Amino acid sequence: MKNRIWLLTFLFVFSLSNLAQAQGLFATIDYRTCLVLHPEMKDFDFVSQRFSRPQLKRNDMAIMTAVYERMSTQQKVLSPKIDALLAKQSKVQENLAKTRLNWTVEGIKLAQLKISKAEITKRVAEAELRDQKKIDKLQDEILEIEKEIVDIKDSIWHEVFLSRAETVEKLEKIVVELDETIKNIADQHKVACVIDDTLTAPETPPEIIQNIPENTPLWSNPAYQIILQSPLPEPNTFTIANHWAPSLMKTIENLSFQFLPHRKDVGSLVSTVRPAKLFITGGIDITEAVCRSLFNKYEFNSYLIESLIKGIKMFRER
Amino acid sequence: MFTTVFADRLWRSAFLLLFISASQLYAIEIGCIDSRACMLSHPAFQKFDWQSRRFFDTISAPVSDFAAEYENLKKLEKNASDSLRTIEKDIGKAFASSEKQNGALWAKRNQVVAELDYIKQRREILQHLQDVETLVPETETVWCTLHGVEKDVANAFDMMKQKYRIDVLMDSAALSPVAHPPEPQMHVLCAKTLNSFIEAPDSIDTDEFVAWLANSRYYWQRKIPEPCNNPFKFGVKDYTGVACSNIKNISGIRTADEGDKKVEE
Repeated sequence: MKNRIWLLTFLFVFSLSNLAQAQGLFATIDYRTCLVLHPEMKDFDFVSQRFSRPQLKRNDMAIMTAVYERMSTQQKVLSPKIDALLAKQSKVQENLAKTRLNWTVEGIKLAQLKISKAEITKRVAEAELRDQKKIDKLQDEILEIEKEIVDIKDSIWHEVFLSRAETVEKLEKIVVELDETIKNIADQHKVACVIDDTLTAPETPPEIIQNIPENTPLWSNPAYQIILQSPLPEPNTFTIANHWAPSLMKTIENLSFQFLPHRKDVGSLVSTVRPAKLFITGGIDITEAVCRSLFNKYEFNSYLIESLIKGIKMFRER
Repeated sequence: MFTTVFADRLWRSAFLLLFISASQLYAIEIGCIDSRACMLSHPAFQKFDWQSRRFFDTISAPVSDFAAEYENLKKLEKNASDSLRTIEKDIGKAFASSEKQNGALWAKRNQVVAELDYIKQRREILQHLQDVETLVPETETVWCTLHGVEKDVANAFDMMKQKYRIDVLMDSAALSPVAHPPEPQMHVLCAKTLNSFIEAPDSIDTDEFVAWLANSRYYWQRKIPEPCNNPFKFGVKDYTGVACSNIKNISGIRTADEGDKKVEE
């Protein structure tokens, strides 16, 4: 009996601990915000589209002036070469466009002849096959020129910026680190999966905003306001309200139907005011937790961390 | 007596609790598929003409030559009727034989019956097209095929769910962006870097930071779309490849079944 009680107690404690560890299902994240605010991203330069070299002594004016002087000299020397390559590239692109245009022209010419549709399709296909090799060659040429330009730019900026290849490598490392952090935070919060719910949030194109009639929302429609403010019909008395009651009801109905087709536009308009959320209840958002973990890892001071978290909140709730 | 009954009940409830909690310990399997990719991998879509928005080789196919098509249907009908007669004879012979052979014959018969059904429905459509003097069948004929594709795809998902024991199957097409993000405003990005915000934390609490953050999100979404556009970041296994290869093996849909007709009416 005593053994039974011990076993029972063990089972009870084990069960409770398991229940406590049970996984929650979903968490959401704003992946792009986490990526953009990754501490390593601070070295990214949007003008050159490369990361600046971390060992660069930016605060030393003398060194930086010397570096920029060398860079501009190098640029002066190599810029004619870049210009020549760009001119060559545009010529190749023109050639490519001409070749593609030929197919359409040939199709139009054939359509004017008195031959069957199948014959036209066959001849156009033959022309496409004939030119495909040429197009492949031209595309290779464009890629080759692009690579040459990138190499020249790398050689000009190598003292200040990482090369294109190094930039790509660094980006890959950042993405891997971010994914690992997401995994760790998900494990800590015991969630089974993490979803980025910020990708499909509709953003109203300006033309839609312009095309929404001013009276689209039912409540702001002047006719509807008049109906709302008019006196209520009284039974068994002849009043204007009684006289107009049926037609007023019809007007309300018509207005409601007019309003319905605009629901979609209003929906996307609302999304610019209030960000959409995938889970109303039952999911947690780990964006802040992931960012905080990265900031802590890169030893940001607490004031900076709080400022950044506040900035993220402001952005997400705007 | 009472103590024994009570202890017994306690045992039972303890085991029930253990069972429930142990089942909670196993992580649930969450999968995702791209339903658009799955739908396009259906054999029916291999013969979809994007220009006329009709399925070739189905009842909705546009007509190029009525006489030639009637002739072709006649030939098809003759062949199908011949093979149906042969198969039905074989079924009669194989009646006493093994179950497996009989099953294969019935499957063949169903195929031929479907072919005959297609010929019948196509003839009706050709007749209608000649009456109204057009070459492209009405849109309803496409909806029949699409409905069939939907049904096949749903079946494939169900089978996959059972085979891989997937608890939750999500559609990545529902969460993935359908368009490029807006073009980032480069003047906003080039004016300030993340470093400048980090060096002056007070500048983070401004509209300038919000604008910079919004634009850099667009910039990176365009620059590295692969990690950015995937809505599932952790814990979800992608079954799109498996689903697509299953769906590819489904036989094509050529007709509108009786159920579809009823819905249309």
